[in-house]
Amino acid sequence: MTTAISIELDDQLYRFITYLQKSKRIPSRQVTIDLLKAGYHQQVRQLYNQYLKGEITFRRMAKELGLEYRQLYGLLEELNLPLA
Amino acid sequence: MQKRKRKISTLFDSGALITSAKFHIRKKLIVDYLVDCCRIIIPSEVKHETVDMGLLFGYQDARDLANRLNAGHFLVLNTTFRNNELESALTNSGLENADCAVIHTCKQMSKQTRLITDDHKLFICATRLGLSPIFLPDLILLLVNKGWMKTPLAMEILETVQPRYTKGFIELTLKRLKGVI
Repeated sequence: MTTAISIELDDQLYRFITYLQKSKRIPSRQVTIDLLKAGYHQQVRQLYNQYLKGEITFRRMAKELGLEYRQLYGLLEELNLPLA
Repeated sequence: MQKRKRKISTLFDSGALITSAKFHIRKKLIVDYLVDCCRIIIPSEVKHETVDMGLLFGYQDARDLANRLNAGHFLVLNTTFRNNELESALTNSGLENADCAVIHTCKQMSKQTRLITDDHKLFICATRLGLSPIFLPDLILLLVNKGWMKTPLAMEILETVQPRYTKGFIELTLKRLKGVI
């Protein structure tokens, strides 16, 4: 499922996206999606490290990512990240 | 006359339950080996996370768990009593509602009940409360030690679930199983 949203970018982010668009020769839409995905995966990794250290429970990690328990289990499987 | 062995009383957390319903060994799901030797109880919150939501998202393991639940292979227990003092301490420790439900349900059960969880934080909280948590791989080891399961089958199960655990986790259980440590 995909959802379209419109966002306002500050000057710094706009310049960065424009730079990436020109240097990588890909549409700004794709650059923005790639950046968002990278940020999301970084957030997943950060929470996952906290989970593995026993700082947060699996359920807290799911909550922080806006996922149901079963969805998070599936996501970790997709990313080849162990449960314990 | 030979005395009949009593099944091990277990309360399953969601992650361990899903893992046991995902992998086949000798054309049989791990959970099916477990029901032969364990009395499996799950809190209603765990049923919601694994079966109800799993079915909603279309996972095969949820269908397999639902079939076994309908066949009466394990039991769903509602948390009938929640100690407010405990609830507040658990919440302040960072536990979520379903985490608390697992702890409350476990406290309602007999002292011999093993809480099967692969969640480190929940494991630590349960241990601090005097409960008896055990990781899923170590339950397999316990079943061998109690004479419920043969070592070769246990080794197959452990090797199969290895991808779901960090490096060294299964190795430790396997070495204990072989009596090396």
